[in-house]
Amino acid sequence: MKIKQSTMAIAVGVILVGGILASGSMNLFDTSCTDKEPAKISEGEFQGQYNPEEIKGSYTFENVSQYFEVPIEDLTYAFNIPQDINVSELKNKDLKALFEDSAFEIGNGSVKYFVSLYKGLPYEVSEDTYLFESAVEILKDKVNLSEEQVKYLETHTIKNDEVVVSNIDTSTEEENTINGQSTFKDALQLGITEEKIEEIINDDMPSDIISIKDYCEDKGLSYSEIKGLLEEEVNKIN
Amino acid sequence: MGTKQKKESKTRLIIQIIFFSLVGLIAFNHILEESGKAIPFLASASMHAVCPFGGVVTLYQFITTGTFVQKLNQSSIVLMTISLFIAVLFGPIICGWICPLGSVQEWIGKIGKKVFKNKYNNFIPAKLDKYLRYTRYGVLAWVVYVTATTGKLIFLDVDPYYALFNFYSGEVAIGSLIILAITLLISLLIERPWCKYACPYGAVLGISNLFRVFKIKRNPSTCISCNICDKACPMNIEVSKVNTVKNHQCISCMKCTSEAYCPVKNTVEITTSNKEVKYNEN
Repeated sequence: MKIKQSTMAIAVGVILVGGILASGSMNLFDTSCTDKEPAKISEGEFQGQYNPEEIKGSYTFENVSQYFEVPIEDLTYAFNIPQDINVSELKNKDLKALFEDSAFEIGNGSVKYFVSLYKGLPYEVSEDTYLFESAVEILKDKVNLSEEQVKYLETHTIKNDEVVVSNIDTSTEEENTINGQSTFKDALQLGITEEKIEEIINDDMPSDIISIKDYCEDKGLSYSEIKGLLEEEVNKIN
Repeated sequence: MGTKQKKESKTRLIIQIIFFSLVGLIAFNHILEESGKAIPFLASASMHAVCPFGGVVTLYQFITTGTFVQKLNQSSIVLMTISLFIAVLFGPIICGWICPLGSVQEWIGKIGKKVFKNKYNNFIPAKLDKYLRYTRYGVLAWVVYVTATTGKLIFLDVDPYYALFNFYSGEVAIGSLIILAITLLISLLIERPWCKYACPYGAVLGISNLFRVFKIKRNPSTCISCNICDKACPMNIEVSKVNTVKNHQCISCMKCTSEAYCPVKNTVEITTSNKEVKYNEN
């Protein structure tokens, strides 16, 4: 069988697009980055420490908390996050949408600045970076701010009650439950820690792509019992 | 039998431009997304997530532990599988028609062709060149080994493909920028130098030339031995001396075919048939 170049080009296009669409429909085309480790400061006094400048908008509060050792409770309080939001899944870039009615932007830059002050790490703040008064409250409580930093914050603080929180879709009802298709990765994404999962399954954490149901069946565990315990954890987080 | 001076069709060029623009936009959008300003309706995945070679380097870790190498995810495995399937059918068409790094080398090469005329793409003595073409398998072995042993994308430090679309982001290793600059510079002398001597993914896909379903075949009974196919081949394959192109360096650009540069109708074709070749070879 002979084939023309144009036919071949069409066939390749169909295979490529069809393959991506088919894998996407089976939830196999996950392009999210599996690594959220920020780059470290390469020189000077703070060499070897994670660089706040490298915090990306796609990082979740959990990523920031994990690498910069800022308690997630402090981040939640500092950024005035409503209780009905799954904080561990909240991405820095979501802040912009969450506080879109604010006169001054609260976004990834604010997270970078807050973390740098919290950890005493160098960061070149831009003039349009603002923090909530709750963030300033935490910083004043936990960190020795320099005179210059205090002066900057005096003019770059937003009162919490001045901002209306918008509705953003960071998670859905369906995503907040464990179902037959849920993997351990899904459980982690719901905010359950690896340690807690290990405690519940009474074993080391398996590969996160394994389905929880399949794992239970392999190990002879009661899926409904494990599911119940995991959902209890999810409810505690939310 | 009609003979006439022909040129390759615009189809391949259009596809190359589309993929170059698409990958460039996705890379740019990913940078925008990090600051919460992504372009709507355009994918904002990282370059790593849309690179099929990522699937090759993460394969060992995925099989042994079920996890992915740092920065990679399922999409790399999916794209690798699709690319391999396409290669089994049509050969390394990903290299010849889609890969933006290949395209940019080719475009720069057009300048070199004008400057150096017939000398262009013939600077390295054939005897030496023959062996140098296998260096990319060494690169492939090194990349797979260091990735498997470290679980990190060590290749990123010297990857010109990543540098090509992220050079302005401040996230590119100096090694990648240097390799990119060298590659683009050498492209003025040699067509697709990265593809020929260093591309580890080209090495993987190139193997498909040995068993691909749709092969490039030359019909010796109608061939007029004008050697135009040899001159047209960016990878310096002597198409005029074989009946079926099985060279591991072929990138399926199809420049040698009767639809492009071969001046004789139905002489160099893409086909599944073995019939005519068998007849002529006997």
